[in-house]
Amino acid sequence: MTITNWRGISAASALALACVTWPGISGQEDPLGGASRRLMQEIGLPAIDRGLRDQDFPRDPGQTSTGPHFVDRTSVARGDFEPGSVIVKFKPGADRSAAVSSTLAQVSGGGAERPSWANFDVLTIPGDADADAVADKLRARADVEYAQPRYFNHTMYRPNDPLYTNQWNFPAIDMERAWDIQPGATSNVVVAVLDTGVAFKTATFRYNSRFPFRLTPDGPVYPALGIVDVPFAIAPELGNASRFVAPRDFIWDDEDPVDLDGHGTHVAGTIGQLTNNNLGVAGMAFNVRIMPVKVIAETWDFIFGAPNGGTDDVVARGVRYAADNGADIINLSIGRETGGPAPVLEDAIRYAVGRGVFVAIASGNTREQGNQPNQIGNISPSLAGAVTVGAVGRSLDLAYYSTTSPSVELSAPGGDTRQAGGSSGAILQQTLDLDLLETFNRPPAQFGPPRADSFAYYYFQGTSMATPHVAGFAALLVQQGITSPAAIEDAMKKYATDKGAPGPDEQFGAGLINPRATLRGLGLAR
Amino acid sequence: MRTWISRLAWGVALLAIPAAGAAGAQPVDIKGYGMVGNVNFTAADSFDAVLGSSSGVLFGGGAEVGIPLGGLYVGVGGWRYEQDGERVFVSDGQVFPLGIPVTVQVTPIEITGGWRFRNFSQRFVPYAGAGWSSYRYKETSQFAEAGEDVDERYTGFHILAGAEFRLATWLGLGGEVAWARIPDALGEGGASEAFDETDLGGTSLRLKISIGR
Repeated sequence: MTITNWRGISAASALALACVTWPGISGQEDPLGGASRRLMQEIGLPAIDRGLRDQDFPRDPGQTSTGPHFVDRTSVARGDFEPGSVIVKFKPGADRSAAVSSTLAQVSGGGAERPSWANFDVLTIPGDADADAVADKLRARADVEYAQPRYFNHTMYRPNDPLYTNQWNFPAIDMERAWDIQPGATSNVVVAVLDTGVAFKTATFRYNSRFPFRLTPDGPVYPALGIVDVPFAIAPELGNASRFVAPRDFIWDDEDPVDLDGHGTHVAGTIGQLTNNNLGVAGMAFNVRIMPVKVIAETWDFIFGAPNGGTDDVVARGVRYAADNGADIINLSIGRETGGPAPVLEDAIRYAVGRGVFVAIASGNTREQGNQPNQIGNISPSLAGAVTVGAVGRSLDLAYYSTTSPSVELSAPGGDTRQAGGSSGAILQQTLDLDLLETFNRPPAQFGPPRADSFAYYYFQGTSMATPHVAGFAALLVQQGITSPAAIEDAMKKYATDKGAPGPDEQFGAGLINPRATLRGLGLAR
Repeated sequence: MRTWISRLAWGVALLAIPAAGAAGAQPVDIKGYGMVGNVNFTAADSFDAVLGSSSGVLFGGGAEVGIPLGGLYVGVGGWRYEQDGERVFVSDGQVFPLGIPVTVQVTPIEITGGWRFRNFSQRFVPYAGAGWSSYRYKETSQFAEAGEDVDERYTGFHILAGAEFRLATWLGLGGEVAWARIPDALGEGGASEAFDETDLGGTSLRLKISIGR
């Protein structure tokens, strides 16, 4: 169950129930010879990009499951302004040469130069003179229109991805200035996405849909599809195969954690969507490598009879796997709000943090449904190096769904269609084309096999969407030099922008993440 | 700053002239000096975290006037310390360098009054003094925007002791140790806040070459 998908568990239960109680299901021949699924070929047609789906209402956080690198880093390595000179413009009608002479005399200047393409002069002043004070002095003169120090400018890294303008979430946390400092990390940093899988592979898998099913107890019956070949493709905005490391599927018990839902691919996009590539949208840490680890089963996995569901033990195995296979950060946009504590998961998360892995956990989307916190997040307040993340909307107010609890330690943009921006107030990333994937949302007569090789840009909202902002942020910090999980958490909290009541609170935790200030760190005195 | 120092030096000299007149017999000693040395900052953890060392080389100079009242003298001097480093994050005492260049300049001006123990030896003159210090602290770093760099001046005091060896009538070689306290200059932010260090002062060892009597 993903955190954008809280009612998925009931859908899965209903699905399973319907499958189990359907007459005549036993004794069917197994065309896959006992295998859960079979990889048919590791080639496929190029992915289809169906563009922006901004007319589709964002996937609701509580909706049922149908649900590089190359940055010009030209910032200056100097002070605010160039010492030893100031800019001055004399008023029209002033005798320039006389004005220059008397001005130079006033400020002990050494000369004046009129650069090309300029209607102003650059005055040379003593190197140790205070340029601000000199400019003040010049401005007081009757013949001066303006005077100012020669302030340095630098790039404000702004991705050229055409749909970046729809991504309010990055400017909202000052990412453009943060990317000036740390442009997207590098492939040395690995972020594990423990989720519904990731569109990381181009291949065709053969599944066996053996059982008719209902999505809800009173819903229509969908027929068994029998043997179906499902095409998969790498999400174009996640890059090529080299972008992915150590994939692992704990739902299907193999090494092909392909996404049959779209949630994991969307989350991976927020962490590491290719950026500045003149295509689509941007991601937080766009040069990192992604470790796809599938620990959540969604509707198609159930329809196809996956051997495992996303239980605590499966998730815990995924956490341990990621920690043992080189992950620097684990993103858990998953969880459960029901049931008791999860010591198996707490143990696994402690293990991961102990291995130097930072863990970001979604706080949950239940604020309007009893406000039950994500059980996985309960461990984070007592474990430095794991944080539980709440969500804000475009107005930077708490998202209507974002679960509040003592576990919430930080906030990040998760989207909120009730705040500014309406339906575009959610988080836009590329993921699987839900029209072609979620055929179970059609009437039974139109129900057919899914396609997982077609992609579009969707707005999703939820603490699932907030959490990868923090995971991507952690990747930038690791690249910048803060390598200890506890220090990453400490840094994020120290520089977070306080929201709500002064100090840490159950709504926003320490506040909204502030990547630019955090990445810049501390000088000696400031 | 040089202008400031020279104005102060001339001021001190002018003040000394009436005193010399009053004393009558003893001439006014005026000398200028250049110095090189090493400073160890009291805020050792902060300097070490950001600049890789809590000590560094200083260069400076100044002027002294021996007032004809026994061994009394007044002086004004200045020096500069500059070091490059990188910005850091400090968590639980652990320092994480962030690779963002930072440059720190410390430029003190010291006005000192002291006593030269002339009767100790003809050529070897120990001395001790104390006075007022004004430290300009400047910190610039990459990616800084308006208001994020530091350029402030703080005041405190210093004490010093040393000895001068007269190589010739107009040439002396000396060494001194000085200790300064510049309270509340640090500790409001940056690594110094993390280490709870507030004093910009420190201990310096200086080698001085003086010209004059």
